[in-house]
Amino acid sequence: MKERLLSQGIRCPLYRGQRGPITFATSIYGVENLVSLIIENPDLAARFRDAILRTMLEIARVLDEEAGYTPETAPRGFGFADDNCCLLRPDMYEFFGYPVLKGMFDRYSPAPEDLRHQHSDSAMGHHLPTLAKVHLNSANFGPTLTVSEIREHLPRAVIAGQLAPFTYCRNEEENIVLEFLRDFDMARQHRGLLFATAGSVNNGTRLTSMRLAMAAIQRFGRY
Amino acid sequence: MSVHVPHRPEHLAMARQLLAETRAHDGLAPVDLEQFWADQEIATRDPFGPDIPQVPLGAILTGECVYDELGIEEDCRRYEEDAGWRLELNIAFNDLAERITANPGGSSNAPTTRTNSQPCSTESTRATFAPSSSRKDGTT
Repeated sequence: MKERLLSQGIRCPLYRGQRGPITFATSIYGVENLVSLIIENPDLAARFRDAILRTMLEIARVLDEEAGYTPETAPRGFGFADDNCCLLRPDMYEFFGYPVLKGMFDRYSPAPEDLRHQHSDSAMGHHLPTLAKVHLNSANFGPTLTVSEIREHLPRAVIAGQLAPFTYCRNEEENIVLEFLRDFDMARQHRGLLFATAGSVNNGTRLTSMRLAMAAIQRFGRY
Repeated sequence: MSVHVPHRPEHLAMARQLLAETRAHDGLAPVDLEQFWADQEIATRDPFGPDIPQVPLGAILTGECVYDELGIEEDCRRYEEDAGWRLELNIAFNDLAERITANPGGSSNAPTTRTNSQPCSTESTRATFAPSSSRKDGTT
């Protein structure tokens, strides 16, 4: 595979992003099964969690080496996409999710400026205290969270949000502007807002809506 | 709850004024495109920057949005597997994007709407700090 890629002028891909540990685990084992496992057999759940972390670290190491990097020269930064994290209680996420995030960030994002990103466009505000412990510097969370709420826990994170994806893809013009004004109000003091959807940009979203967001920024969103 | 935060009365007036101007311009919101993208380039470098002129925009449209914009039925699988069709859609979409959202000066630093190569992905780490420039082949 490596030779085939190189012969086509394609560099070996690096591994710097991954479905988050809860989405990953529930995909493998099932939502109810994972919840039950953590509650009823935490030792086995811990083995599962540790296997996930160990495997992620190994995938990254192997691909780094194949790409010709050493631990010292390998590009830094890592990001997770973990929509399903909302399904766990905070104590369960702390037990199962936090060690995986910490392990990957410790290895690939050791410096404060190295990317530590999490996307979870679900109602996962109950995990903000845990995510604060891994010092995220980039966050893209769901539309039930506010900029103020995220900022309280993640003081150094660029907040990509908090325009509701359904507001955008339904082209609700008035709400697009209102949601920007709301977010700018909350971000004005500390900055760090990247006005984006709190989740995906979906089919249905029109270019005229994007232009409207641009106009709202230009008219009302100047520092 | 973010989506349930009530708007302020003055915000409603501001929004309605902007929308009135938008409708008066055939549905195109009033924006100085050249200035916007110049400011965007500065703002995206560091959204915390003390000297950034405006909030950076991350709600950049992607390849997921080509269908509705072009008035065709969504077909993610074909878009992913049929390179010729994808190219055709991306060119048509980017032609519209250049008219609606792009810098008329055409600076390489002023992106039109990006169409990415993985339109059906639900993994959204795509809110980038520095959106890539539009490319006619639809890659990023």
